[in-house]
Order: sequence, then C-alpha cells, then structure tokens
Amino acid sequence: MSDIITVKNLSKSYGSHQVLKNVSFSFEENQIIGLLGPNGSGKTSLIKILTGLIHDYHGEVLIDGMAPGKKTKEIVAYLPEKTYLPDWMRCIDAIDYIADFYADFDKEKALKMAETFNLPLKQKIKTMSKGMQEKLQLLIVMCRNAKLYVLDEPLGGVDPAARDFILNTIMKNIPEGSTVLLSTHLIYDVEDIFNSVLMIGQGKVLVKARTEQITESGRTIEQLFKEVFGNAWQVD
Amino acid sequence: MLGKLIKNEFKCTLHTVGYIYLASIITAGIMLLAYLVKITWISGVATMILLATGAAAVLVTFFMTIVHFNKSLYGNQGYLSFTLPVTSNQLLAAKTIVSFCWMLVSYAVAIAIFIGVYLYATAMVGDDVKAAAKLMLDLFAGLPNKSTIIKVVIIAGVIIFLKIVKLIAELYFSVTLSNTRVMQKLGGFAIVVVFFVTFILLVVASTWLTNNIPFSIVVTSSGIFYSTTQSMSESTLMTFGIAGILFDVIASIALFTGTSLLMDSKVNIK
Repeated sequence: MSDIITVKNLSKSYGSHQVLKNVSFSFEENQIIGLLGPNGSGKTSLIKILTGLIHDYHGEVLIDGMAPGKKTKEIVAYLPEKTYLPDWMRCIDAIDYIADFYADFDKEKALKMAETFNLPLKQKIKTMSKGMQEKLQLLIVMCRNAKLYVLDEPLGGVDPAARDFILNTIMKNIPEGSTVLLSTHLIYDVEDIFNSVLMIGQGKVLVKARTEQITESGRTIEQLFKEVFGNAWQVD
Repeated sequence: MLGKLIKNEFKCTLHTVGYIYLASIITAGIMLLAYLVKITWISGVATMILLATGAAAVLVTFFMTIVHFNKSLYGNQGYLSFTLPVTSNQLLAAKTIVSFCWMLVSYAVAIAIFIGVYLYATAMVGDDVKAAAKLMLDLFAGLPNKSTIIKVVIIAGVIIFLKIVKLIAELYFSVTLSNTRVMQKLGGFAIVVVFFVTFILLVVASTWLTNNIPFSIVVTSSGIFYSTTQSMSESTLMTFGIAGILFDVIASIALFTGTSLLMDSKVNIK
C-alpha cells in the first residue's frame, strides 16, 4: 500500500511562536487515523497545511504523492471546525455548489441524506441552527467519494447524542479504500474506530502508532493520551 | 472550472447588488407612472430616490467588491473557496470578471438614470426633449465623420475598461496584502490604508505619464492620428495619452500578479 500522507521535516511558525517543529511522519491509505492532542497543540495548523490552506511552512508535505494544490484538493474532503457556507445559500444551493466542483460528489446521496437529516432543501443557511449547519457540512463532506477525509474536531462542542450521530454518519459513509484523518481531543468516544493514532504536542510528534500496538501494551488510547499529555496539566 | 466559478460568483454577488437594481427599476416605474397620471409630488420624490439609487448602485458595487472578496476568500468562506479544486489564479480571474461586469453595469445604470432624469425633467418643465437629447449628442459635433466618432468611442471604451480593471486590481491587492500576517495586526483599517496609498501612487504616476510623455492619440477635425511629438498637456485638441494607458495595463498586471503570489504564499486562512 502507498502512503496517502507524507510529512517530512515540517515546521510552521506564527511570528516567533513555532507551532510545528520539524515534524515527520507518514500514513498508508485505507485506515482511520486519530490526530490527537490538546487544544493549541498544532492539530489545526497541520490540517490546514495538508488541505492547502496554509502555504508558508518549511518542509515537505505530500498527499498521495503530490504537494498540496489543485490536484490534491480533488481527492481530499475537508470538514473544518468552523461553519463556512455563505449564509445566502439554501441547503440545495450548497449541494449544487459542491456538485459543480467535485466530480466525486454523489448528489443523489446528498439529497437523500438531507431528507434523513431533516434538512429542508429550501431553507436558507442563515436561518439554520448551528447544529443544522454542522449537519449540512458533514453531509457535504461525507457525500464525496474522496480518497482522504480530513475532519477537524467534528465532535467538538456537541452533545453525546449528536456525537453518536456524527460518528455513525462518518463510519457509514467512508468509501472502501479511503483514509480518514480525524482530529479530536475527546478520545473516549472514538478510540474504537481508529486504526492508527498520531499524538502531537508542543509542536512535535509524541506518539505515532497502530492501535493494536497500544492495546497490546495493555493500555487504551485514552490512557496513553493521559500519560503523554498529563504532565501538561500538573501543577508543581 | 473557471466557467463554474464565474457562474457561482454571479449567483453569490447577485444577492448583494441585485436589490439595488430592483430598487432602481421599481423607482423608475413609479416615476413614469406618476408622470402619466400627473401626480407631481410622487413624481418628484421618485425622481430624487432614483437619482440616489443611481449613485448608490455605484457605491454599493464598489463596497460589495471589497467586502465580498475579503469575506469569500479570507473569512470563514475561505475554507470553502480555497479547498475547491481550482488554482488561485482561477479564483482571482472569476472574481475579477464578475466584479468588472457589476461595476460596468453600475456605471451604465447610474449614467442611464442621470440621462433619464435629465430628459424627464426637461419634459416636466415643458421643454423640447428632442432638443435636449440633441444637445447631448453635440458633444461629438467637433468630430469629422462617423468613422472618427466610432474610433473615439472605442478608445474611450478601452480606457474605461482599463480604469475599471485597474480599480479592481487595486482593491484586490489591498485586501490581500491586508490579510498577510504582518498587516493583520492593523485590522480592517489596513485595507483602507493600503488601498489609498496604492490608489494615490498609481493615479499620480499615470496622470504624470499621460500628461508629459509625448506619445498620444490626437483627434483632429481631419481624423485620428498618433503623435510622438506632442504630450497631452501640450495639446489643445482632444488627446489620449498612450503612456498613461500603457502604465495602467502594466500596473494592473503587476497588481494581479502580486495578489496571486500573496494568495499562494503569504495569506493563511484564519
């Protein structure tokens, strides 16, 4: 199997603050990867680099063997933390918009899913609740037959029922052979779905392992996470 | 992909500027209706509103160009725009083409409203509308023949085209430069500062070159001629300074290139 993500000596700074320090790792395709780390650990910066939203970094980043750009955007489906759809759009406009640009977008599936999600097609985004907007964004991403799904904190700030809904939607809709990179700091609910984890903190890769390597050592991912990051919260 | 970007850009911007044109059509309708049924006060109010709408069309389009570019690329919507499978140049081209069309429409609407109101006012005070229209066409009276008039109109059209493109290039460059890390500290104020500095510098340079470099098109009673001996400021005839026009072309290309480079290397989506 080939590597879907390759990162070599990646560094990124915001002014004098370095968020990623000479980070290197790679992942093979066809797996669910947990990108784990506390808030401010550099997860979102890493994701923005992988999705082509941040350009001023040092090092090499390859998605399916290509530097982030037009070609990689065709095969990457990205769910950001923020709500980003223009508020003049209606649900159907957003679906049409995505269908226009991505050859791998399944519009029929999206229309069915909108009905299942109770998203009225004619409702304007500006009149939708935040939860509805998040559902619509999730729908848009999961109706693509992408090679790589990059999901930035899809479970952040939602109640347990919504969390289950989001996880089910993700799991049901990942095409065969695709890879998911899911960033979260809420590990308990999701650790069962990961095949691999990448823990980053203080701008460095602290753990990169297959899930079975972690469980073989008699620990859960959450326990390992607490071991790795627990010190950050200890007070002398 | 460029076609799809343009189509969606039109759809998106129509929601902002569409209302002003709708307001113009409704007001013009009320004005004409009031004229036909001879209700003077409604006609007067509608005329004032229509004039205001004409000015508003230009202003709204100008501010829409800035706000929409900033919001759709460097606000939250940037997560959508910059993850589309298109290049930055395609994004820039689509936005430029659509903004150009809206600016052109806004100028055309404003001019049409002002001419319409002038002729309407002429009719209201009982003067001859045909004579008033003829007075406007007398602007071309000094030109020798139809062919020269067409050439002058084409040259003026090209200059207007370039001025609009240059204005869009200045706006896009200012917005993009203001969204680089260094300038972000200044907030929205940065856009205003960068725009005015860029605008003033380019106007000064373009005006100086237009007036002082002896490379121009001169319109005389015998036709149109190139002149490499007479600058615009020395001429007493209708003259178009080519140096200024060329400068506008070069400045626009430089600003678009700068914007594209900044988009590809220096601007990070917040």
